[in-house]
Amino acid sequence: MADHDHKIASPPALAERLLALAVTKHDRSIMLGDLHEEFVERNKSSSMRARSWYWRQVLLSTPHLMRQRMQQNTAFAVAAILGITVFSFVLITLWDVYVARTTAGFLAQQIVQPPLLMIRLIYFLLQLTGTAVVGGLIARSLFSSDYTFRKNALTRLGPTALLLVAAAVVTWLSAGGNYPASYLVLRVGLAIPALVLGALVASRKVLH
Amino acid sequence: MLVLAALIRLQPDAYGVAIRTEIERKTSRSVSFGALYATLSRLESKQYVESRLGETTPERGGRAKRFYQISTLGQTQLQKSVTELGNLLEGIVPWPTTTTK
Repeated sequence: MADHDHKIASPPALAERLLALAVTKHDRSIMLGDLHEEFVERNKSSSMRARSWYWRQVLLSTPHLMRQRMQQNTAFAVAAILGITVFSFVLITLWDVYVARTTAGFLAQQIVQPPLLMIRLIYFLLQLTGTAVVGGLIARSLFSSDYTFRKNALTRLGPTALLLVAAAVVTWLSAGGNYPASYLVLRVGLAIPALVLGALVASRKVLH
Repeated sequence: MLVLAALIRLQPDAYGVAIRTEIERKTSRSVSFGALYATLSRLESKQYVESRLGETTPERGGRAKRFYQISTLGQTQLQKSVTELGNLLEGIVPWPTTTTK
């Protein structure tokens, strides 16, 4: 007779906690129970695949659950938008410093007489790409299954766009006017459309 | 509509895992638990479905199941939606007909 392992496997604790934060109190225990049940079943064939499946469920479920909570609870809606705005802004800043500037700086060092315009264009392109990706992440989190993207874009993308403007103005003021006005216009004038474009593309993919 | 149809197929044992599995099996469409429970919550608020709690089990981490069933209002709405869809598709695509004895 084969020995049976009577210990029932447990889902990834962090994933479970993240999901518990997103789901409403009414559904929390039930939904975690469902996921636990299916995880235990999948774990019988492969522990790694079961864990991967669980994390995928958490990532795919969170946008729907957040939207549900936002519809039911105004305070949560405000907190979610602010939280995602701050998180997005940190992401944009990290991308700007560690990817866009590092790449542009590396390219400038490799060329004996760097053509500054080309280096600057590459820097801005990377900066805008990162901003568009963040816009896509915002859309994925806040607009999933939401057929009123245009109506809600202002309240949901607005705070992040405002932060981009504020950061650009602070940079300009703190540099004592060393940054030309054209830099400020470029940075703000293109970053906000990049954010919106990324959100629009991601929301179309999410909605259709 | 998919969720309501799945409830009818599975009753009286329609709960989250079973509903999700049934939809995936019949439609080849992957459904996340979040999407499913958001839909069930919306259907319950419209009184198209009713729910009751089941027993806890160790396989569910000591958590109970919630069984769902379609209400009379839900059945009426589903029938109405199917009829309306049939009317829209009439003459465009072959509409499956059920044969009765």
